[in-house]
Amino acid sequence: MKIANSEIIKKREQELIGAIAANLDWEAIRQVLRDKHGLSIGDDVKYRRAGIDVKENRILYSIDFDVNISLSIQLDRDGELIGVRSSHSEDPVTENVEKEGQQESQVEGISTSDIEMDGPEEPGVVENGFPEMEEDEAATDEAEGGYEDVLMEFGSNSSNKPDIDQDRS
Amino acid sequence: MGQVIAIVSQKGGVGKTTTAVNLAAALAAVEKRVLLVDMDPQGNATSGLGIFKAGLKKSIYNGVVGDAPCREIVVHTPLKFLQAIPARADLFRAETELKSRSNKEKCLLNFLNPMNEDYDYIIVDSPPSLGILTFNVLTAADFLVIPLQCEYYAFDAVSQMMDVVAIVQRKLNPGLQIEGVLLTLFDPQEKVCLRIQESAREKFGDLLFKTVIPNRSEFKDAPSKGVPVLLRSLMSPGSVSYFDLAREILKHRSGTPE
Repeated sequence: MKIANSEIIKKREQELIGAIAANLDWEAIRQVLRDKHGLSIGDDVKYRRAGIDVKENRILYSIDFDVNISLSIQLDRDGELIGVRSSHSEDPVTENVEKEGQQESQVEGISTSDIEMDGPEEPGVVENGFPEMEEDEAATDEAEGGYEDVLMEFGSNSSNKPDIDQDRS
Repeated sequence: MGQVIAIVSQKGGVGKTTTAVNLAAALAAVEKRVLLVDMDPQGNATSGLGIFKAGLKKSIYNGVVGDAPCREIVVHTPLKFLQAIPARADLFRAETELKSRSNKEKCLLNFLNPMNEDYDYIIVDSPPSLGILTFNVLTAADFLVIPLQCEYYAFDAVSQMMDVVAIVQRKLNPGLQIEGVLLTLFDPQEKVCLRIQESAREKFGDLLFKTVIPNRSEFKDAPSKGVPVLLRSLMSPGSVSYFDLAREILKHRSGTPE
C-alpha cells in the first residue's frame, strides 16, 4: 500500500545530500588529508556520487569525489625509475591527469549521480585552495628513493638467480 | 644510546615473534633496559607479553602515523626492565595510510628516535612480508637478526632477505648491519636440521649465531600464558637458548671476543 509519492521522497533526499555536499568544510578536509595522509590534492575536486546508508544505527552520508593529484615520476637515461612524488609542480606530466568524465553512481541505496549541487557555478566542481607539498619533504623523497625502488631492484635481481642447492646430503 | 635490533624475515612461522619476545626478556633479565616494539599487525608479541589488546587506548599504529608520542603508548610488562609498544589490528591501516606520505619509510625511525636514550636495546618484531611496515623496520634498525627455520624454504628466504638488506643499505639505511642468522626450530634428531645447520655454516660463516634455538614445547606453551619462556621455566632448554643468544649479542655488541 503506497502512502506517499516515492518521487518526492527521492527528490528531497537528493536535495538534502546535495546541500550537504555543497556545504562541506573543505578547510577541515584539506587539513585531514594533509595530516593523516600527507596528501595535497589538485585544483579541482569533482563530485562523483553520493549515498545514504545506515551503519551501527547511525545514518551515514557518503559523498565521493574525484580529485587531481599532480604526480611527478623521475627516471634516468637508462629508463630506471628514480623516484615518484606528488606535488603541485607545473610538470608536463600533470596534463596527463584525467580531468573529464564522471562515473555513474553504483552505490547502494540512493543513486544521486545526477544531483544538482548548490554553490559552485560549474556543476560538479568544488573550488578549493589546497596547499602545495612542503619543499623539504618532496626533496627528501627525491634524494633517497623509496621502498618501491628497493623492491623493484630486488625483484629484477632475484628473478635472474638460480634456486638454492637443496641437495647437500 | 640504545641500539635497535630488529627480528626480520619475510617468511612466516620462522620464529620471529618467539625470538623477539624471549630475546627481549633475556636482555631485560640481565638488567638491560629493553623496549619491545611490535610492528606486526597480528600483535602476537603483544599477546605473548600478556598485554590485553582490546584494553589498549593506543598502539604502535598511533606512533607510526604520528598521532601519539611513545610515553602515551608504552606499557609495562611483568619484567621490571622490559617495556613494550604494543600492536593490534589497526596497524593494518598503516600499510595503506603510510604509502601516500613523504618519508614513509622513516615513520618508525622518527617515532623511536626521541626515546633512544631511555633504553639500552630496542627489539623490534616485524611482519612476515616485504611491505611498508617491514621497510620502516629496516630503516629504523641498527642491527638485524634473521631467523632461519630448519627447512629449506626458509633457507631460501634468508638469502632473499640478505639481498633486500644490501639494497636497503644503499638506498635507505647505510648504517644497517646484519647481527646474525639464527637457526630456529632446531631438532638434533632430524637429519635435515643437521644438514641445514651445516649448509648455513658454509653459506653464512661467522654471521651464523653459535646459539641454536631448539624446537621445544615451552615455546608453544608460554604464549598461551602471556609470558616469556623464562618466566614459565627458567632453566628449560628453550629459556637457556635465549639467554645464550642474549649473551652472544651482548658480547658482540661490546666487542668482547668469545
